[in-house]
Amino acid sequence: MTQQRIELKFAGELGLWNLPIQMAQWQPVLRAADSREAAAVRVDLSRVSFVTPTAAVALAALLSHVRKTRTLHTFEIIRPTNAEVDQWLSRIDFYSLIDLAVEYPFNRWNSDGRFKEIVSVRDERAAELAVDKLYGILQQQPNLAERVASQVASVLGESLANVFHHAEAEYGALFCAQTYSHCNAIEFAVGDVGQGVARSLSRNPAHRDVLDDPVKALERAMMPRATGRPDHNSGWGLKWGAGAIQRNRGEMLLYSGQAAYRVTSEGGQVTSAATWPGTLVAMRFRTDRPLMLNEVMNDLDPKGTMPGGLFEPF
Amino acid sequence: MDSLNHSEDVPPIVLRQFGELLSTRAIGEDVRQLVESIVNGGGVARIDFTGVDGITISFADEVFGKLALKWGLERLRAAIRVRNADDEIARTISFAVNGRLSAPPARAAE
Repeated sequence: MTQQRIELKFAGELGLWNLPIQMAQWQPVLRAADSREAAAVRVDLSRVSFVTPTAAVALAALLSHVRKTRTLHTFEIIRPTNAEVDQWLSRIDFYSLIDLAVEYPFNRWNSDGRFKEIVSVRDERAAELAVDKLYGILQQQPNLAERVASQVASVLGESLANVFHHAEAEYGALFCAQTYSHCNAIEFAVGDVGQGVARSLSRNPAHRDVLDDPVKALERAMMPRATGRPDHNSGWGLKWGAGAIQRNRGEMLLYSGQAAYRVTSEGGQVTSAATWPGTLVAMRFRTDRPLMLNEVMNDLDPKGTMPGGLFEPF
Repeated sequence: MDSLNHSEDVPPIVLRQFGELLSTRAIGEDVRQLVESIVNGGGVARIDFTGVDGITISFADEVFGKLALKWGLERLRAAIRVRNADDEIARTISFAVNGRLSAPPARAAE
């Protein structure tokens, strides 16, 4: 069997905002993996100047996925020549996660207060620990708006919940977070290579029509009460997170199959995109602005009132 | 519901024991089972949020939404007392309850 050679060359900044463009390079690798063709893959990061958690999770998830599930590929990783980028990837355990032996040229840094290394989140207990860790990091940020720490951590909790209740991802999800104190921001990403949004939603007969339409699937997923499992789940999580992003003037990317849904303060927009083999949710919040979750819920549930008699005065 | 025991004999369910942030359905399921065991024994479940900084919709749905769906709003009101929940936590609980009670039946589309 002939082995095709595939070279992926990444350059410049790899972030939440340009992930669909990064994914275009991965398509020959994914096609070769799907057809079980032998391939030698070279991932060249030498000209990369900046990486955020979204891109790191995407790279690690794809490399892990293809290496774990396909035996016919060989990989070569060309590390960034930019020392800061290379060290950051080391610190967040990117290299160890993809089994690349890298000697630490520095003492192991304590990540408390700044970032959360890439971790595999395989069960709800691991998700609780990830949420608690992010909460702790956020509480140490300067210029923190009221309640932002608990609100962002809660939104992460909803994002991770989707992995266990909808993704059917054999290896769980990868999670990573990084704060940017100079611009009062935090970015986190949760990526899996599970069944994807369209297949998950279509388990509900009401959403069977989205199975072969990835754009429609993401539009539907962002609607209130959209869930593949209405008996078990409420279908509010993504809409709740998107509403918080809009009020916070942050940015969100929901990426699954051949579609990407981007949310900013201007609203949401879905576009066709190169394939992500599963689901990835990335969010960037400003830490100096509240998420106004009460307003989000009032918008989604305008007639909602407190059930009388349930609450004692606070 | 008049037969429910409103005395303070039943210890409150102190949610802080589960964490400062209650984020998962797994925790919610544990809390719901505690609530049901108290209520099935004839008591009123007093749920204390002291020290809890935030909850997710998933947690609120797993406890309050699913109990509202199972019992109906009147029985929920009679069976549960929520203490020391701030505005945002209370709003999340009411959001989950209203969401379950106003949702179309899960199998309606079949």
